[in-house]
Amino acid sequence: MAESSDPRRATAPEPEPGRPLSAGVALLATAVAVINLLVGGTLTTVALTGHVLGAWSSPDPLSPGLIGAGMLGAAPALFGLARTRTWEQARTLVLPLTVVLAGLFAVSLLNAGRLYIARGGPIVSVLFSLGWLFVLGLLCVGAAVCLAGQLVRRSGPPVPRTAPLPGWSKPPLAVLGSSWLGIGTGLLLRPGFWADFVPWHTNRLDAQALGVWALALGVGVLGSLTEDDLDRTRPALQSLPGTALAMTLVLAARAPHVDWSSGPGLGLVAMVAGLLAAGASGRLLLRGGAGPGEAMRGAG
Amino acid sequence: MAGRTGTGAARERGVVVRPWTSSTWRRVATVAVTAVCVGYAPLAMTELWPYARPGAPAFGESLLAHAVSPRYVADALATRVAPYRHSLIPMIVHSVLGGLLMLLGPAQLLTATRRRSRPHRGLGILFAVTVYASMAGAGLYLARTAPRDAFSGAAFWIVLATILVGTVLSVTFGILAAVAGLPDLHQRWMLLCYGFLLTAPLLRLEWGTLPAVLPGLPMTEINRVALMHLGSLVVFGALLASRARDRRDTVDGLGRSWAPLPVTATAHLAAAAALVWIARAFSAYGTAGRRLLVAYLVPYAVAYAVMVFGARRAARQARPWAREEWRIHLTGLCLAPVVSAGAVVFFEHSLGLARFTALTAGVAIGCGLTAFGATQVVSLRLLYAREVRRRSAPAPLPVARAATPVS
Repeated sequence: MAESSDPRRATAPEPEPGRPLSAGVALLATAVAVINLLVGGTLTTVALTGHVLGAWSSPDPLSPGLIGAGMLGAAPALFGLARTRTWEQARTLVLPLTVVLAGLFAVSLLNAGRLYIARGGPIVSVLFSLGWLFVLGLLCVGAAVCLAGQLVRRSGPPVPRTAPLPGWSKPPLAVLGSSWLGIGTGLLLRPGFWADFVPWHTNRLDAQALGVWALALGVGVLGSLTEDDLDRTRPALQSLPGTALAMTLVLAARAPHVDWSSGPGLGLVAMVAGLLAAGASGRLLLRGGAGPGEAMRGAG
Repeated sequence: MAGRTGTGAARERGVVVRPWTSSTWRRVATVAVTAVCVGYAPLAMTELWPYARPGAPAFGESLLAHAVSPRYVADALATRVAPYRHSLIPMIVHSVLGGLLMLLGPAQLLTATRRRSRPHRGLGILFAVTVYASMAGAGLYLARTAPRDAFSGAAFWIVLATILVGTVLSVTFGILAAVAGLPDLHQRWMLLCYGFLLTAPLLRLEWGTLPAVLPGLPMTEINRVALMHLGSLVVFGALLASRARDRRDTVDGLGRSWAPLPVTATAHLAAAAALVWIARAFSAYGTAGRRLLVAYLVPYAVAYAVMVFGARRAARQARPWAREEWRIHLTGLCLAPVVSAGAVVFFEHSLGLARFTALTAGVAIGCGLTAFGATQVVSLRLLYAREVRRRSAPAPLPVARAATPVS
């Protein structure tokens, strides 16, 4: 296979721009997408029925439900990620993915004594928490191996920015990204204090897991801002509407349990709405402005 | 999908024809499995009628009573009535749809081998919906029944739960593979799913035939003996079927083996240690323990021998993909006792089960779990090869495409 491609390389004009996406990262994205679809779908469905299913016991089904919603919402974008060709196009989604995997695994390990495995409980929950740890551990190891393989790949000439973000979008994106990053870091590092800013009942593990997700969302949004190229941030933009819609669904189903009139409640509404707006406007811009750009890429 | 070369064409290529995948053996296996499925379907559908309406005809029970003894069946029924009573509707849904699946399975295999894609797709949707509905019924029964109240105890509950999860995940992966246009993955997952479904008729078969080998035991004890190799037999059968249907010598983009010598050597060492641990644990329970140990070890040894033989022969015939799949499943089989040992410890400590129950449950689910994992690794392997193929091709330039016919 390598031999058959060499003569083609000799006649091809120049190497492709950018760092080619490795097969390992593409496979990781597909595997995580499938797992997210199954596990996220299960968690979301169970939370919508008002029961708690998770690796640890939660006072309210909202927390595991939102974690599941985040997983489910990101799945379509992860399937799309496997089809991108360069690392530059993929990294805005791969980096938040790494944050989620490493963060959830670390949070689960650090609070291992609070998981159902250690505490005991209904047999289904105990088995779920065992599977949760095992799969997360496997994915973390896989992510480490695949990313190492990706980062040692040789890069071609730098990819030009074909569709920079419009000027008016940058301040709102900065505010959105910073708010998610901020609340995420706070929940992760000092859950005891920052959990009060979550407008429903959470315990320590819930707060930290939600913090990991918020951190990942913030990294994704701020990362898109830094890339400053609509084409490169396509996977991340694709994940925003799905995630926001899934979160809205869970929040709407459990609306009586959320303190909407408080400051944090209003802040949550604004942040989720911001995600929806960012995703929607990104799609419109991609479809409208990148039309001629895509035609050029297809021809040459 | 793999080209189906006849044995004549294979001989022309100078390839030794593999005995158990020649047409005769495959036909015999297909006919046997179809006969078991079609024969079991009416038994499955009517199995629970007597619980709903006492006095209804119960073909399965009368067959079993004739084969063994009426006392054998009556003792078993006495312990089953109570748990079934509070989940009767879900169980009836489960058993009737299960009988339907017994008929759909051979039909799907037929449409697949005859390349009738429209009936295969149509029946496939029906198959998938039926699997989900049947498993939902079983899931409701398991959720409402405490493990210790299940027939034959908590070990059986755990095995049933594992088979349920395995079936649901296998059919889901099979559907995803079909949607993604990956027929080799689709075949493997569907064969594994059907293997898990076949545990039902296989168990009933053992209920009827094992008393001839082990006379005087009640059905609960026979059940435990059957559990020891139920999982390993069906997943082994699924592997044989997958290998028979995949005639490829190699896959483009395969690269280095994912089960090289260091990995398999470590797996063998771990297997040896775990098997010794399991043997010693079972020996502490006298005759009953030794019986269960033999029921576990004999099918395990047979599966191991076949896999080693398959891998060696594939290597001799220079067929890298076949060798790779045999080796991955061999590694999985070696890791099965290790997973079992871990499961025993987990069941004892996290679920608080008694030692003997934990031991039975852990050993029973080991082979099924690792075979599922091995099928996952095989799928990832094929997906990885596809990604490597995709990414080794240059970017779609019109000029380059015209100049490159891939040989």
